[in-house]
Order: sequence, then C-alpha cells, then structure tokens
Amino acid sequence: MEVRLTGWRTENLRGGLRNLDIDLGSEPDRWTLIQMPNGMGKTTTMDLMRWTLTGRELPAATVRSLRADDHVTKGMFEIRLLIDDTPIRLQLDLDFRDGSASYWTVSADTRGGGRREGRKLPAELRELLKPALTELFVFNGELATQILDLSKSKAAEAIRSLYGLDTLDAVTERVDALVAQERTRASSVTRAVEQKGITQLQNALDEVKTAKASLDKQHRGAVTRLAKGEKELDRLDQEINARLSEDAGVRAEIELIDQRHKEIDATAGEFSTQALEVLRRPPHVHPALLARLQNLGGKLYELKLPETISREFFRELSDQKVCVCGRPIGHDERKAILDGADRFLAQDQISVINQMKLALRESKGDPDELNRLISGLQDQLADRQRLKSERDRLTSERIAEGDEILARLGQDKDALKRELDTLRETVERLTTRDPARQRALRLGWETNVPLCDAELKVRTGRLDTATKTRRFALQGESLKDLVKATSTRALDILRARVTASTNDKLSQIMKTEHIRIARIGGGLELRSDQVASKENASEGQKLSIAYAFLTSLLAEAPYRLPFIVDSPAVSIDVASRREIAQLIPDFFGQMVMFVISSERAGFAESFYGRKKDVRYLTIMPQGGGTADIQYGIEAFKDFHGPESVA
Amino acid sequence: MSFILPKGARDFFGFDGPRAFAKRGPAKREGGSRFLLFDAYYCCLLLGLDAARIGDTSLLEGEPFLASGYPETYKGQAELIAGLLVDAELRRLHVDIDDREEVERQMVHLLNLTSPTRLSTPGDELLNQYAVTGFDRMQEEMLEPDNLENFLVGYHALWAIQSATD
Repeated sequence: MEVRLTGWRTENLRGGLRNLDIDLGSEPDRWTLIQMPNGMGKTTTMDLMRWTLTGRELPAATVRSLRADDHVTKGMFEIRLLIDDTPIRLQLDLDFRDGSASYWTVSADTRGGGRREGRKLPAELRELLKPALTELFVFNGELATQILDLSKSKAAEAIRSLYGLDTLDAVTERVDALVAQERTRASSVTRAVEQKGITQLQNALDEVKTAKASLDKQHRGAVTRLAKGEKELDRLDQEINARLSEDAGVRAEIELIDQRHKEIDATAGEFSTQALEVLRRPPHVHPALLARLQNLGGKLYELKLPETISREFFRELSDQKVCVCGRPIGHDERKAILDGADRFLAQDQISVINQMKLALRESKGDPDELNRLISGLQDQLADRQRLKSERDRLTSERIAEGDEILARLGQDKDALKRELDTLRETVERLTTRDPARQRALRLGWETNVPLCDAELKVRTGRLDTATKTRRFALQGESLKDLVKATSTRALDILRARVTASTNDKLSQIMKTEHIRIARIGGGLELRSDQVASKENASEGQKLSIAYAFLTSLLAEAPYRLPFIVDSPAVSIDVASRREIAQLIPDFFGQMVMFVISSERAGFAESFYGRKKDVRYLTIMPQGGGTADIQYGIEAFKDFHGPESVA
Repeated sequence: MSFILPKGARDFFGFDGPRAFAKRGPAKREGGSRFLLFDAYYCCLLLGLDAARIGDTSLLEGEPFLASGYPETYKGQAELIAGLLVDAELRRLHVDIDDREEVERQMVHLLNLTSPTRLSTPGDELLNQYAVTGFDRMQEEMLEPDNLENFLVGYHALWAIQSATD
C-alpha cells in the first residue's frame, strides 16, 4: 500500500501563500526539488501538511496567525494524495473571524463529487498518521542529526510512535483513572485504602465481633437461667403448697383455692378467646365503627353510587350500527359515545364498590357483646387476684405461727422472683429492636444484639470495600508493571530489528569506512570497523545514517509514505552535501525536497545528472503575497535568492 | 398486599417469633399463641382509622410481615376494613360526603376488585400508615401487656375512653 503526494494548494494564507497551487502531476516523479527563498512560507507549508494529515486541533490564535491580511475572512490549505492510486484531497478550512478550523475530505469516487467533513482515510492509514510519525516523513532536515544524539530520545520516540507503543501509555493512564475512580467511589464508605488503614478497620471489626460473641453468650446465659429459674419457682410453689398442706385444715382450703383457680383460668381463657373473635369483626369493636360503616353504606345508596351503567356498555354500543332508539350510529355519533364512555366507571370498579356497599348495608354488630365478654373477663381476673390474696394470707398466717421452713421458702421465692425480673430486663436490654426502647434504655452496639449486628454489618462493609479497593489498586500497579515491561521488551526487539535493517542499508552505501549502528538508545550509537565506538563521524556520514535509519523505520509502516523534507543539507559543507546527495535519494520511493538556493551547490546539482524521474520547481515572490512558479531545470539553476548571495 | 408493622409493635406485644406476650413473663397460659401478628396490626389499624390520621412511613418496619391478604380468621372482613379506610380517607381529606363525584373518585383510587384486600396499592400503603397512628396512641395510653387477657381489657378501655370523648 502506498501514499504519494501529487500537490497542494493554498488560499489567503500569509507569506507567499496567498494563492499558490503546486502540481506534481498525476504520476509524480520520484524526486522533486522545490527551490524557494526564505520567507516564502516553507515552514508554514510543512506545518500545514502535518496538521492536515493528522487532523490536529488548532488553537484560534494559530488559525488567526495564518491570515494573509485584514481583508480576508477565510483561508484554505489542500493537500493532494494518491492512496493506492486513488486520488484524495484533504482540506483544512480556516475561519479567521472566529479562529475555527475544520478538516474535509474530497474524493472523486464519492457520490456527488463528495466533500465530506473530517479525514475520510482508510482506517489503517488514519491510525498511522499520528503527529509523532508524521513528523518523521514531513521532516525538518535541520533536525536530522538529532536522531543520532544520544542525549535526546528522537530515535526511540520514532520507533515507539511507528509501532504504536505509545498506545500502551494510554493503558497506564486508563489504569490510573480507574483506580482513582474506584477510590472516589469507596471514599463514601471508607477512606482507608492503604494497609495501615485496612489494619485499623480489621481491628475495629474484631472489636465488634468480640462484643457480639460476648452479647450472645450473655443472652444464652440469661435465657438458660430464666428457664431454670421459672422451673425453680414452680418447685418452690410446690414446696410451699406441700408445707401448707401438712395441716389438714389448710390443705382443704388450698385444694379449694386450686380448684377454683383452674375454673377461673378456664373461664378467663374462654372469655378471652371469644373476645378476640369478636374483636376481629370491626362493627363489633365499638358502636362508633358500626355507625361509620352504616353511614357510609347509607350514603352510597343515597348518592346512587356506583353508576349502574359501565364504560364497557358504551364501548359495545359504539360498535353497533344502530342505537337502541333506532337511530343510526355514524362516525360522529360513535366518537361522541366513545368520548363520553370515559366518564363512566369500568365494570370491575363498579363491582368492587357494589361489594363494599352490600357488605356495609349488611354490617351488623352487637355493641354490648364485647362489653359483656370483657366485663366477664375482668370479673375472672379480679377473682384470680382474690384467690392469690387468699393463698398469700394462708402462708402469712402459718409464718406468723412460727413456721420457719415456710418463711425461708417464701424468702427464697421472693428472692427468685426478683432475680427473674432482673433477668427479663437483661434479656430485653440485649434483644429489643424497638428504637424507642433502645433510646430509653440508652443502649448501644456494645450492649444490644440487634444494634451490634447492625454495627457488624457496617464495619464488615467498610473493611470489604477498603480491601477490595486496595486489591484493585495493587492489581492496577501489577498491570502497569506488566505494560511497562511489555513496552520495554517490545522496544528492545524493535530496536534490534531497525538496527539490523539500517545496517544493511549502511553496508551498501558506505563502502570505504564501514560505519554501523552499534545500538539504538535514545539516539543512535555508532561504531566502525576501526573503532568500537565511533564518535567523530563526518556531518555527511551522520546525515546519511539518520536518513538510512528513517527509511528503515518508515519501510516498516503498513503504507509506503512520501518523504517530504525541508532543508535536507543546509547545515553541512559542500563536500558533505555531495556525499549525502549520492547516498540518500535511493532510500525513498518519493522524495519532495524544499531547498534554498545555497543548497544547490553540492546537493541539488547532484540531481542534474539524473535524466529522468526528477522534477524541478522554482517559486519566486511577486509581491502582495503572491508567487510565480516556474517548472524545469533551467529556471531552477538560474534562480538567485538572497541566500545565494550570502 | 404487604402488611407492614409499625416499628416497636413487636416489642410492645412481646412477640418472640410468632408467639405474643412471650418476653415479659412465664408463659403459663396459652393466650400468646392465639394472638397473631396480624391481630396486633389490626388493633393498631382500627385506632388509626378511627382517628382519621396517618403516620409517617419512616415509622414502619422495613419488611412486610404478611404478604398474601388477610389471615383466615379475618375472612369476610375485607370489604368492611376497606369501608373503614374509605370513611377515614373522606374524613381526613375533608371530602364533602354529598359530593358524589369526589366520593366516587376516592373509592376508585382506594379500591381494586382483584386484590385479596379489595384495596389498590395506594389503599394498602395508607392502611399501613393508619396502623402507625394507632400504635402511637396505644403506646401513649396503655402499659405494655403481659398477656392476652390484660391486653384485651386494656384495649377495650381505650375504646371506652374514645366513647367518653365522642
């Protein structure tokens, strides 16, 4: 796959770019030399090419700085390409008033001669044309020797850019962003994400777990003691009864009391059962409730609620052709009936209201029934209390008569009852879930099981969140280490590959002194046959090595790209230029070289001997920002720019 | 339908699981097993409906205690409880009882034929809120009952006070 440059065009841009159209032909030559004096917009043209190829966003100040003069409001740059022999034009539209820039693509194969917004390039090429790589083939020749400079990192950056290793940096940035996001999310639960904080949370959780175990133990102990105590109370009652029963007269009284007690329990049980059943019927609970139900029922009859005609009736009627009155039902009548139908209830709504209405009308209640039952229950409870007093009286009399055993049993029983009351309070304190009771008893997670459970849940949540967040962050660090190691390893392999490829080229072009790249670090480290480390290569050799490196690198790109270079030999002496001009032209498939007149000597003139595949353009200023373009070798040779004087 | 108890009602009635009056003394009588969680809810509800005031949903427990309509012991009472709710809502919202359209609108809003309680979802939710108000009054005016017999007597006395203030 191949990209070739066929020309470019400018409109209303500063310098010599007010209206310039460079045409390299539909089948461009392999080498193009463009000569123009400084100040004609060479650097600007190179920048415009890079921006248009990469689609870079331009600041408003940059856009405005390109304006030819105050009279123009819009400007344009267009670069023309052949992509696998298909012509495509990329355009950069500039609006000097608002400082905006937009990119467009014109392709002949698009329906309607299509000019579409954006860079509509093949996906692989669009991905390839990133700024760092584009700088390598739209190249500033004055920077060539920087590729060799070990103190800089141009060579390594070039490799990273071509092979997309810079996208691995994006993975690292994404990991950092995700970890930050996870920490923000977790911070609503806990701020602890480091080991120290997690240990504190673990300690806090252990504290509640210990408290919970202690509370559970207290609860079990209290419940067990309560059950035992209640049995003990029964035993004491039995012992007291037995002791009292030793006296035949008292025994008879006790038997009578016990018998009566059983009867009362049974009767009270019956009353309470019946009362509960009556209570479950709302009209029986209180006359007020019965009255409310009956009033509502009566009101529904009075208001004639619900309607007897349902919404469904009218919907069915609207389906008929003729009304029950014999009149035809047309479109207008049908619409009127359907609109009116919504004012009526649906059949199920009517049914439920009717059901309730019927139930209300039939609701009956005997207001006295519950009164009677509760009154009977109260009598039984009063009788039970009287029996208790009677039994207490018998006990007290015996104790007064000097029955020490009975006195001791009575004391034991009183003490046990007090203990049981305390135990019940303990159980309530331990188990109550009622927030009002918890507040009243001043309970906290240290003293109440439900509150302790809740605290346990909160602290477990905090620890889990912190642990997960820390694990997530550690996994993120591992991933970043892995990405870094992958990137480093990949760069090493790619450096070796590009080194080998560059050295192949160097072995073909440097016959006399066999200079090689020893290693690519940040820059290129050289060696020759004579010395292990070659520090003093000539300027020409350095440039040759730089271009050999560039061409080896660009050869690895999925597309063969044109090499557009500004001032390829400006910084070196004439002898070195000749050397360069002999060596580098064969490196590239298409080479477009911007030269100034001082570069003709040694460099440009070396092309004169090539009979074909060379195109010469000479651009001369005409005043007012316009330029004249002359094609051909003669004009090229004859041009005298200000630099040539110097 | 999801019946939700007011917070604190379980403790007030001494529920230990399904058994009432279990926490405050020896369970010598069987009354506790006859008194259901729904009985506790219903007793609160009647007081709330009578007062025609609703309580805040934040004073309800988090989860329903019963999710499939009324218990068997309340069979046949659905329409009457629905009627008491309609009556309470008409009073709470100061609806003119002779305003036929508004009364009908309220009933349509509160009732649903297909629900086992005959109530719509908003009707069900209001029922729980009325129970909150009833429980509030119960807590204020009654001692926590030790057993069913004491509760019946105390609850009946509350209605007697109601009668005296009517």
